[in-house]
Amino acid sequence: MRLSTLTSKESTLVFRALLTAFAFPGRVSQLPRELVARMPALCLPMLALTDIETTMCAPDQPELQAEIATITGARTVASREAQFVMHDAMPTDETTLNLHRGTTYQPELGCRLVVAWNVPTVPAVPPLPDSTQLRLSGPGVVSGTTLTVNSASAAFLAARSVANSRPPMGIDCWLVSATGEVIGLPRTTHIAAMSFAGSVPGKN
Amino acid sequence: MGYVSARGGLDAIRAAEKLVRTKRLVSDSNWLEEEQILDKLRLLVDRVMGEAGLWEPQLASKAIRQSEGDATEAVHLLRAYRSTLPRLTYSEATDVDDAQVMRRIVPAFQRVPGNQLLGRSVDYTARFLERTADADAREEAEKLRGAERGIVEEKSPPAEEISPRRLIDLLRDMDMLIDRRRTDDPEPFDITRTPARPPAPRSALLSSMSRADTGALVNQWYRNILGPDGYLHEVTLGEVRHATLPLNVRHPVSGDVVTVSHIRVSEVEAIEDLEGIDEDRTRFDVGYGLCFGHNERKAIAMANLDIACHRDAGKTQLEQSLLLTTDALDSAGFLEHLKLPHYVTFRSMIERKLAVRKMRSNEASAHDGA
Repeated sequence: MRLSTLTSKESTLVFRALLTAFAFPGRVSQLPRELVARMPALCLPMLALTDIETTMCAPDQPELQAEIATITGARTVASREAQFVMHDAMPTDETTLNLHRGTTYQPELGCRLVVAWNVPTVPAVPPLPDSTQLRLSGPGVVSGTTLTVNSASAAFLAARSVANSRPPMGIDCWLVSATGEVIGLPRTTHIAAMSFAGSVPGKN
Repeated sequence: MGYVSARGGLDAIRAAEKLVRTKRLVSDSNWLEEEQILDKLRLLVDRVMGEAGLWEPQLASKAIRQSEGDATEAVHLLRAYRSTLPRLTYSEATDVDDAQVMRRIVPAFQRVPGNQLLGRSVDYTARFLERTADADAREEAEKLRGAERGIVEEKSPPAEEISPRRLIDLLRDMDMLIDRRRTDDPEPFDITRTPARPPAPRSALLSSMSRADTGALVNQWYRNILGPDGYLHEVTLGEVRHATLPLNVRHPVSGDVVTVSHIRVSEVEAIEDLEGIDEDRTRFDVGYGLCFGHNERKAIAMANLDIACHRDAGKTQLEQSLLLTTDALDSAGFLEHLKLPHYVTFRSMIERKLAVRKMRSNEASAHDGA
């Protein structure tokens, strides 16, 4: 087993990092390094936030899904029903659009999506061939915040925008790198293309 | 939770936070140890744990120190922390008759099974402010410490004193009680997951009161007894207990029930004299109160309001008032959010008034012209 139970203190540290990431969408926060050294960073949000009263799904990581479920007691369900979903790669449009968005009266039931993120956060100069720079706006976003993504990520972010097009319903997302860098994209954050090196399907 | 968010002026907010932190940490007095708070401010620790809904004395003492003694702020800190904790398992139901009492009084009966056990209480103490010099107090403390060492427990107290039989059992034997015990076993309402709204099951009401602000609950009780509600009723306390309860969970591997911790609770049973037209006037009814720690004031108010709510049966707004207005965080949070910037809403109010003024001025002009 690669994963282990987080202590309440460790859980709180992860929670704080995730909260900070949501408070400043687009800004890079850091998950606790000592935890990242012990287990996959992608799993830390799931270990910290799920428990016996939550549902989760990691469709492309069945082994990790089983470990997380054993450790936290969270029930595993299909991703469209899950409160917490973890993806090791950018989810397809279909997956993203089928995630639970909550309801008008209970928007808090919208899915928390944790996605592996391997794109450098600092734009390369000159820009990489398959990269797009996106501008973020919305509550908590520091003016001028941008995000550099590849085409697969851009497609996912476009689907995310569609999923968040009927507020207050929507999905909240954390992008987590292997080294524990995390970027929060709450449903209130709007993402617009600045320039197109590739193509960005959909509109924001 | 209530309103807590603040926006704008991030530098000013950070400076204010720094000022709080600096003034709290930097002073000429001795460092306030958690142990001292646990020892010397035990009732405050109990109250904070009760209103936060988390039994953790060490963390409660940290919260009290961080909040500089502001009980509501300490409750806020502790409940916010609690909300980040995962749920690991569900505890097994505990029979309150398994509790070990440290104090137990029965104001209704002088001679009861298991005897009266006054325990640690200032109920019978004259309220003289002690102005003893510190040196004298320390000397007295040393003497008391020495005397305590000399006390040798000869034998364990008998079982009927540790878990005494209840007065209501005696009253049941006498057929003096309405029997409202249920035979089914419904899941209790979880107020930490869903806000309780009237009409709510009794478990929601009891949970809400158990976590309510002590002062708010006492106020509700007093209003109910003497205030404008005019719901005068005769209550006598059956049991007032301060006791230790085991916390049991089922072992994930063996499946056995194991005790993983103990909590202290205050428990009260209030005997209500029934005198309503449609009530059984030959019998009594009982209200129940239980809360974390040693907080008899709260448990008494709770037990009285439990039976008052049952008798009220939705005729007044008592249930609504208890469920919606007694939570420390809700009420204080809503109140304190008034200190946050309301520039836009207030500007809008001014503009509405100016618009009304302009409209009236136009009307007056039109009237004068006609």
